[in-house]
Amino acid sequence: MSAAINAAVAALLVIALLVVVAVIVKGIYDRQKPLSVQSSAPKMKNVGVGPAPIKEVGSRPGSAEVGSDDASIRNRLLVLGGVAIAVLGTLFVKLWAMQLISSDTYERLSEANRTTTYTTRAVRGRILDRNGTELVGNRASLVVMANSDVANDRNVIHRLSNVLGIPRAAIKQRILNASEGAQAERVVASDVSMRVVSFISEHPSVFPGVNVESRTVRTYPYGSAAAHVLGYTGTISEDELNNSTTVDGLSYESGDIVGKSGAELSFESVLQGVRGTRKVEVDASGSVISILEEIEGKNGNDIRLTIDLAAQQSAEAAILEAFETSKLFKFSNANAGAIVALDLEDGGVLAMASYPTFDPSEFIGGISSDLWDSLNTTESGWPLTNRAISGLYPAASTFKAFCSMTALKHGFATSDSTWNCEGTWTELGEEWSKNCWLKTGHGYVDLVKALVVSCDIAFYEMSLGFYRNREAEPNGLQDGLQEWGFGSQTGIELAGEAFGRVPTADWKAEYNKDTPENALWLPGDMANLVIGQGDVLITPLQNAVAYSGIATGKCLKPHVLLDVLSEEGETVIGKQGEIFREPVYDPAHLELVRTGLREQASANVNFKYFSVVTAGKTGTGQVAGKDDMGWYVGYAPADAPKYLVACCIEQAGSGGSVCTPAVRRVLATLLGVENASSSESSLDESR
Amino acid sequence: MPTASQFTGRRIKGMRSSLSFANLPLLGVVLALVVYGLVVVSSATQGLEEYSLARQLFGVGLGIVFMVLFWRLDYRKISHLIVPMLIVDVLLLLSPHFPLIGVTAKGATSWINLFGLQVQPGEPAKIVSILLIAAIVAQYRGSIDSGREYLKVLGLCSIPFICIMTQPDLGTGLVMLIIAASVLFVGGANRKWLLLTCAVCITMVAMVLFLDPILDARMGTDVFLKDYQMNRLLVFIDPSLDPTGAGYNLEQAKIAIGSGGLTGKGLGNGTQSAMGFLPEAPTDFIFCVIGEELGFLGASGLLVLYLLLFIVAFDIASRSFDLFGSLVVAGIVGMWIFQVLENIGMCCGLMPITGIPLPFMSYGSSFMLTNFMAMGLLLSIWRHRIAPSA
Repeated sequence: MSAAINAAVAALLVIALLVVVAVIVKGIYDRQKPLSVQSSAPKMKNVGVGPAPIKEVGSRPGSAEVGSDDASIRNRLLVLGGVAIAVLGTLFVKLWAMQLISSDTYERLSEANRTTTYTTRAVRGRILDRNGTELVGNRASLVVMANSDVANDRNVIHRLSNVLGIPRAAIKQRILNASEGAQAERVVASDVSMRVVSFISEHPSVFPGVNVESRTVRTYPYGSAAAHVLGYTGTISEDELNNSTTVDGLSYESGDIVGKSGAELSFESVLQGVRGTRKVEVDASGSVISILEEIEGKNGNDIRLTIDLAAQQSAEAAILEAFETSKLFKFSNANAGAIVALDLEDGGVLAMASYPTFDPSEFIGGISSDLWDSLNTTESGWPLTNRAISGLYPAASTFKAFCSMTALKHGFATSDSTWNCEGTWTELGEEWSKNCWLKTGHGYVDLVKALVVSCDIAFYEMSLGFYRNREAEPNGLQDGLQEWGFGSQTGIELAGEAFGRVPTADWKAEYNKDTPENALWLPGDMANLVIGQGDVLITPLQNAVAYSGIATGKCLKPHVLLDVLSEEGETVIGKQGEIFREPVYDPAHLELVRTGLREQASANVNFKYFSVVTAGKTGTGQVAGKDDMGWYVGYAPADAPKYLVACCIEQAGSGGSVCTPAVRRVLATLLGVENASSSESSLDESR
Repeated sequence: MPTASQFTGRRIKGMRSSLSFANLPLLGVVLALVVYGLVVVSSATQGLEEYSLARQLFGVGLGIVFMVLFWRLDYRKISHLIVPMLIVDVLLLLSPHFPLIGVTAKGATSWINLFGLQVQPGEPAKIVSILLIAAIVAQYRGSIDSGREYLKVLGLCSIPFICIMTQPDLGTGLVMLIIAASVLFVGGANRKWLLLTCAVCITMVAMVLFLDPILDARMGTDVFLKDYQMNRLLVFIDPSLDPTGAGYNLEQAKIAIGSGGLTGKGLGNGTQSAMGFLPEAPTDFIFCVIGEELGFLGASGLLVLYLLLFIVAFDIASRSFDLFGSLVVAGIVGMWIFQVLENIGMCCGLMPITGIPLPFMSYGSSFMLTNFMAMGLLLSIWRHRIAPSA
């Protein structure tokens, strides 16, 4: 709008100027007109020695009338004057447009010419364990970077190859590698020696498009320890950049390093920090003349996790040990699993191990696409997946503690109930006969004994109670299980947590709606559910959290963040125990189940020489097409629980034999007692 | 602002008075221009070792000497010296080709070395050409109708142009063409022939532009235009073609002027020139320094000074009552108009970039000399104007 007014004013001014000038010129012209007519006579003076034009001119009739010539000369001079005015007027209008209408644009351009803004990257916060041991730190690294054009420059690639000692194909591959943002410069080599850096810096003309930068990169003093909890970092992707919002003065730019998984991702806003900027005045050659403005960056805050490094390492070793144990029992396929250890005081995760695992340092400076692909295959066992929160398994016999609680609550079991286990259960009819895991049968069992020996038939009997009561309460058992947190995310800060599944009649109808013959909820479904088989799926973390409810009376909310340390060292945010679920129960019932768990643990040969009384439950689950998976969830001390460890090993063959020693190992570390294994065979037949 | 009618009124009465010897308004305008120019040049040359204000002052001093010499000279006597003027003109324009004194720089043989002083003979040759062409055209007493005669005059007038293009110096060559056109137009050349000449020129330029890339490719060398000249033209049409190469100068020039705003950044505070973004700031791009440091007021003030200069010059021409005198003024004014248009126009992006300096403002003593010679001629024409009553 103001531009239009400006233009109009300019046009008016120009017209006014033209009029004034025209009046002046006209004035001169008018004044001299009579004079010129009178004074035409003496014009003949100039008769030159030129190349004979005079004859020609002279022969022309009327040419002697110089007076009329004078007038026409004056006319032509006026035309020339008009040209002059037009030229000056045009320039005036152009100047008006440039200096008054669009001067803001040019001022910005001039300012952009004159000033350059450097950003100083904020140092990313460190990640510490609960005792302040550095799990993820920072170190300086000299990095050689190249922009994408260099990939097409054979000479530069050749020179880089010679200087860095990396094959040419590898260099080209790294430059072409598109796992980083599209515009970002690609890292050709990290941790380059000073000698190479100075060579490249001193010969910029033969290395066009190549830069050397000192970067702070992540360092992992304990290698892949807690890799899934810590996560890894990478260059911000285009999507992340577009979707990012400025939070607390934190805004992202292309090329920024951001958390991609685990705590690095979850606590990104705390770890990232705020980059500093330095606005400097530069001349045309780029030399800095003065510093105009400097905004100090703010380094990211260190965070302390609830992880205890010793427990974590113990858990990781325990998983590997469990694989070996499993092989002793001729189950050679065990190669994946997870362990979660909880602090029963506040729900803090003391250890969270998942196997197969990865080395987060491979992501420093951008992971190669080959390696990335190899981390995302079935053959590799999906090592980037955190099985502790994302792995879905049948709950198997570990479910019996919660089914007991629900059955007690509904009166389908009491402290006095007994069931006779003959090894086979035909309550649903001969054609639907079901077996106990112990084909010879357990004989008469009460609830505690049923938990200790993990008798299936006692629980089938309880399931029948729920099934028969389905008209009144269709989801009696399922609702009871959900009270302990199954079927929901626990809400841990880490991304990728699974929900799990507690199947109901409605779920089955919906799930099998295309095959109506399978859609009906049968007593067999209830029988499967009660022993944690069939369609039920849980994560190791869910199981740990549910057992924290048995151990403490309330299901704790699991968390990995202990606190955030500001740069000055003071604690900014502290996370303390929150309650995830408060199941409703009769305390007497809980005592009954606790007794069962304590007795199961003491019956377990693996805990025979353990100096602390523990409680726990084994589980062995069937997975189609694979060896049985194993569970053990245990807590200690049994009478005043402090720690809880849940272990799940895929294709272990048996939970009791394989997972129990793993849990014992971690508990021993946490309790600071000897991991006393049985001198006898550690075979534990309990399911 | 004294209007032209005010001083012309005084002139008519006191023709023989002592005041009539000097045209005070002309001297006043030029004094203002020269002082303005020196102030701006002193700002633009700050911190640049290859330029010195002293040399510019020396140029002005020398210019004043020449101005006085020309002033005292009866210009009318020159009109008889067509052949000697032609010889001097050709010698001046070809002198850079002479061994020992000729100097070649930036692909053009446009300079000579006189006792350690680098001089551009093309500059004084402009004055000689103005006098030469005016003298030739004046022979026809204000009317050239015959095609044969027109061609003859055109041929003679194009000699300086042809000579300068051997250097080659396209900028000065264009000035020569404009001088010839102005003098021919005011000298009464038939409009028909003038328009035809323009049409032929435009056609030839178009053909050169069209054929140049083809012939360059065929011959492997520059045929008509040098590559940088072609680039400048292309960039003028579309500056975004090459912002850091050929378009850089234009872009930086526009930024300098535009960022000046109404009042400018203040004398000596221009960032574009002082920090080296603006190339050739004291010479070809001096106007950008004015625009940046003194803003719209400073820049349009300069335009007003030029306007006054032209008005006074036209006043002198129309009061001369001597065809040769009028034609000399037409040549001088034509030269100035074109140089102002081309120089300021290129700074604003209205015209393609050529190395044409801004009268009385740009750094360079040869050029300053030319302008003062022109001044001297104007004063001489004023002094020897023919009294209407005589």
